[in-house]
Amino acid sequence: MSNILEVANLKKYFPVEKSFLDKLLTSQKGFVHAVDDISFSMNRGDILGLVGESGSGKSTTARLCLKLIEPSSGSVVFDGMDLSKLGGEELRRFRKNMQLIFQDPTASLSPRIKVGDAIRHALSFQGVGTPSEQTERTRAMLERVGLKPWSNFYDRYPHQLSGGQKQRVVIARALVLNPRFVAADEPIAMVDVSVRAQILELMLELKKEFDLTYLFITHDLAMANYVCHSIAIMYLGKILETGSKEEVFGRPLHPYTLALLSSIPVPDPKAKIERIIPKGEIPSPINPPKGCRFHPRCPYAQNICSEREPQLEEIKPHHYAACFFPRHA
Amino acid sequence: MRGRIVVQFLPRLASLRKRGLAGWITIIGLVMVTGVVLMTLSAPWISPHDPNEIALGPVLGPPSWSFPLGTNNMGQDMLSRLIWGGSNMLQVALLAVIVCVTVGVPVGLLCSFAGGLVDKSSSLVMDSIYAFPGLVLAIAISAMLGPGVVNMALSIAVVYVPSYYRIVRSQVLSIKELPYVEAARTIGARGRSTLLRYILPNVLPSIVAVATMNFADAILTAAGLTFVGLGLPISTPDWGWDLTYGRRLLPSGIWWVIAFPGLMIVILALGFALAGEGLSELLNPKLEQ
Amino acid sequence: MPLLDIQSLVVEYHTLRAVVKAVDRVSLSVEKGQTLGLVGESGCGKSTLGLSAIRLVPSPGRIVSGSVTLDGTDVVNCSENEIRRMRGKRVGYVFQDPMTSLNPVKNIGAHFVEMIRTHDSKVSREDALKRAQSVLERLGILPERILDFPHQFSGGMRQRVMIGLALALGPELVVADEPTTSLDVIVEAQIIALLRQLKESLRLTLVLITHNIGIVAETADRVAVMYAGRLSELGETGSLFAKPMHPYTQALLKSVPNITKKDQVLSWIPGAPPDLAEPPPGCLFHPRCPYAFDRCRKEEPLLLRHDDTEVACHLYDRR
Repeated sequence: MSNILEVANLKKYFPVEKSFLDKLLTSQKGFVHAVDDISFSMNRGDILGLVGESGSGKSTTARLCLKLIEPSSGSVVFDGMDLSKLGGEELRRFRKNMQLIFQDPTASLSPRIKVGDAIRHALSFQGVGTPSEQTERTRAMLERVGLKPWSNFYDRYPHQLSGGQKQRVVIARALVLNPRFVAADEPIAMVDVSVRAQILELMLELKKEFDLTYLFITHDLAMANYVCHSIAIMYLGKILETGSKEEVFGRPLHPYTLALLSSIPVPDPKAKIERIIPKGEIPSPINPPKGCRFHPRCPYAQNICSEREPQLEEIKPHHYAACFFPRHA
Repeated sequence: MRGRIVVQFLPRLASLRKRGLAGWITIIGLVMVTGVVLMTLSAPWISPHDPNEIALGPVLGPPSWSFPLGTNNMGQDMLSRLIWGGSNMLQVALLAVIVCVTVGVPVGLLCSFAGGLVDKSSSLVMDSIYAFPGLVLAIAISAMLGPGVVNMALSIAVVYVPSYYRIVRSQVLSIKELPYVEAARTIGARGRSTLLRYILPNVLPSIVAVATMNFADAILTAAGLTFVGLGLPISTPDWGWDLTYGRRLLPSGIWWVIAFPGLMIVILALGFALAGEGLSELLNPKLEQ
Repeated sequence: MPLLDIQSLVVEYHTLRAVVKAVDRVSLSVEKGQTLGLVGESGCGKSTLGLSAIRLVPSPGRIVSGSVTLDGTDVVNCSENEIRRMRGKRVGYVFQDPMTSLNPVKNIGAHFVEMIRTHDSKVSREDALKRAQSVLERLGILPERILDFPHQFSGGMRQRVMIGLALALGPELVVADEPTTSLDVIVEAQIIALLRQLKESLRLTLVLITHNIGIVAETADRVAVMYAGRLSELGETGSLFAKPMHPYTQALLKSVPNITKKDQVLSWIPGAPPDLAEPPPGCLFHPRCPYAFDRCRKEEPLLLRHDDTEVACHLYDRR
């Protein structure tokens, strides 16, 4: 069981744009603590769900893992290779090993590039095969993602396809290079409900066929439960709980996880759910709360929660939580 | 390659009618422009007289059967002068637009894509030029360069390049942030590929709109320059010259010398403007839900 | 008499390509105090139907035929003045995106004042503001925030402001179009809880338009399922979820994940919704329906009643 991805103490702070007057009057720099010291690892073949609401830092984390953004500090080691050592042309070529599936199928395809060409570009940019081989592989990939026959789709423009079809093109583009690792940022959030499961099934089939490892970013817990092996819950740049999906969703430890689970609407009118809905909303990531980030909204918070920040600890075997008073423990 | 573009263009033209008001405006504009261009191009065949030949008819004769648009102070036939007169103006405008596009677009693309200091300094230069009133700057440069079609075109081009730069820059800056550009990076596109294949094609529609307005503006500026006395030597028949002389004749009630060239300039400039407006609407379609 | 009664409503969009029937002969009614969940995927016409209730269908859409009756008043044919009086006062509308529905240069108080005083110019500014504050208090917004601008509120708070605006004039009916789509999970739960609470305390009649089946399961008394502009099934929530009749409803319910169910197998519907510019003959769902037979391809199914449920499907039409 090899670690394909090891993230250690990863941080990303974005400077806040200040007005000229603010810059003159205040010396303090404002930073968005998008990702604030997180560590996790993934084995080959894992499907890890990075679950969180807006401002949790999950999208930023994915981009840090793919080195689309530079970390402020911390390290990302991909298949033994320390990504901080990669730059320029080396990095560009390395990209064929790790790909990203985007959230918005319409916005992630250039409206002026034919769909077939968009996929083919991946191969030509990376110099894989001869032009005719590239065309062959593109056609095969189109059919592999269900866009059969390829001749019906190769020369189309994105606006001529449905949302689900566009997302398949995005998946094809990501996988045509045969990467080992794929981060998927809310891949079905903008696809019609009745077609979502089809896209997910496609991703799972392709995982088996190409021997992939997935980092699945989502706010949709039900979907994460359906597709992922393990879960990491993020909040305001921190990982609050992590473990297998059965543990995290079945026997949650962190109050935030409990709150999330009790908040999701269940498509069953007879289901009786005990709702523990916290007050208020997610605070700004520019000035996160002191101590435990969730304490201002936590129904179980005590004094210590506002003074010290709890670290991720193994509360149960292979089940970690960052909380001084984990539930169910 | 060019043939392919034309072939793709023709059916699009036919479908313009279906596109409602924007389509009609484009058609009307294009018809106006094409009419004037065709007239100018076919001058050697359709012009009844030599436009430069003096004493063909009476001095300052009003429109008559033999001279439908009248004659000027040298007895030259105004109709012939009209037919030939657009040639210089069109050349100047075309050259100006070509220079603008070949300078303004690449500079805009590269500087805004590069970002940082490069972007900031080029913006500073462009904004400074842009701050000058167009005609004044054109006059100044034209006076420095001297007469001639090329020099006129250059002086107009200098004035207009910042407009291209700004449009291109604002487009690049917003497109740079779009997911499909990030996607290009993810699959390993180099900067050049990203710029040429992902950003430029999506910036092009806005360039077309600016270019047509550029044409219209160039026509008017060229007319302005000749009106002021800069730009072209006297021997060539030119609407701008006729405007200058015609203006002086107006208080005496001699209207035909200024009227027809003036009308032509309006038609040409308006035609470009309408075509530009229409094209801009068509190339940036509103999404239908 | 139902509070909202829609009969055979047809709403068309006249585009350059074709005439599209966004709403095709839809009939439904909502009794006082009930909550109707209007469910469907993108392009099914649910938003258009909602806007028809206050005659705000944007051009090039037009209400072509059919009727919309609000507590006896004909919404489709009444005068412009009458419908303007009704909007806000008798029907409150919660629009989908609070970000773009609020005027960024006006503070929240100004939004309320404008609304209240447009309907009754005799109300003073101070009184209007006081009324706004009491409405917002119910929604969990502190009174002093009345002078804040939209960008100073978070997403959930803005949505509460939108709900407040919908309720400010005390309407009997509230139509909420995807009120929680742009919100985070926990805030969504807060807003839904709020809507239910308001439903109880103010005895509201609510039409909830959404593609989220889960929300509908929790809050609606009755559910209407729309597909490609037509009503495919309409029934009481419990029975619709327990025994969905229309194949589309069945397939839709099987495609929604339920975290409380262990080892759930999700399914999907192959294909895509029809192009309404060139709709297929007969039943619009037949190209994707696993049970389609000959009649489905030729004849359009009528909405027929079976006990408490109305279904438009030939499987149940024994005629």
